[in-house]
Amino acid sequence: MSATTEQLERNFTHRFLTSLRRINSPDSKTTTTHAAGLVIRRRSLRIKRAAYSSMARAAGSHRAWTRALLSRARSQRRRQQHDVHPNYIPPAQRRKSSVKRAAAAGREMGRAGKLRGLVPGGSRMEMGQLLEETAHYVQCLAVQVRVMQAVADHFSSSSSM
Amino acid sequence: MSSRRSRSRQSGSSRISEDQLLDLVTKLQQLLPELRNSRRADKQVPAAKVLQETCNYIRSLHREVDDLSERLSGLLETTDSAQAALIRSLLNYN
Repeated sequence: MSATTEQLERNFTHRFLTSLRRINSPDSKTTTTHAAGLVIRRRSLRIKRAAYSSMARAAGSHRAWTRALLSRARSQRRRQQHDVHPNYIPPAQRRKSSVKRAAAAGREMGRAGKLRGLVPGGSRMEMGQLLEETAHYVQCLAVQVRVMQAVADHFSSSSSM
Repeated sequence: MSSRRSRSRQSGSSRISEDQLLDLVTKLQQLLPELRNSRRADKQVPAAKVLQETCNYIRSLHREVDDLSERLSGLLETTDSAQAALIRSLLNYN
């Protein structure tokens, strides 16, 4: 596992830094008519989305949670570009109905029900897959946090020079 | 698309065995800082507790991602050109 964790970390770091560079590029900063606080908040949302997407791409498409996360990110982008379609059902509502179905099927609900809401795509997984995907998701998130922390520390130490 | 996926996972019987589920829970337990060091030999950690702790851990990681995104956004604000050069150098280094 350690060799692949290292690979994952490298892959994620590269993707995330590439996204940061794009987010930080002058042409994505031209709309400075807004208040500084708003600019920072909007950018932090972009950074957050970039971090999750970068990790999902780094982890690869053989995992159900990465596919779910990226397809959710795509529909989020689409919703921002166009106005919300009148027939559009938000993912949260769709998820509820499938959670209900899963509850009827399995006696292990309860705690697992909360887990389904936290792991991308978790609502559509049977129990064994949910646990496998959760384990992988947790490992990836831990790497993501570690790298983001390292990048932030790196930035703050160099900007105080 | 999702039906194809779940069918391929369920191979034959509709659910996996109790033992397989317990193995997966044990594997999950080892990933949790809170429960990693509790020895299963002394006292088995109940599966419900492992699932509860997993939820807590995921939530805390999500919060950390939120906080770090804000922090990074603030840091990008301070010195534009220097940060751009820094990202470039980090990318080359990586």
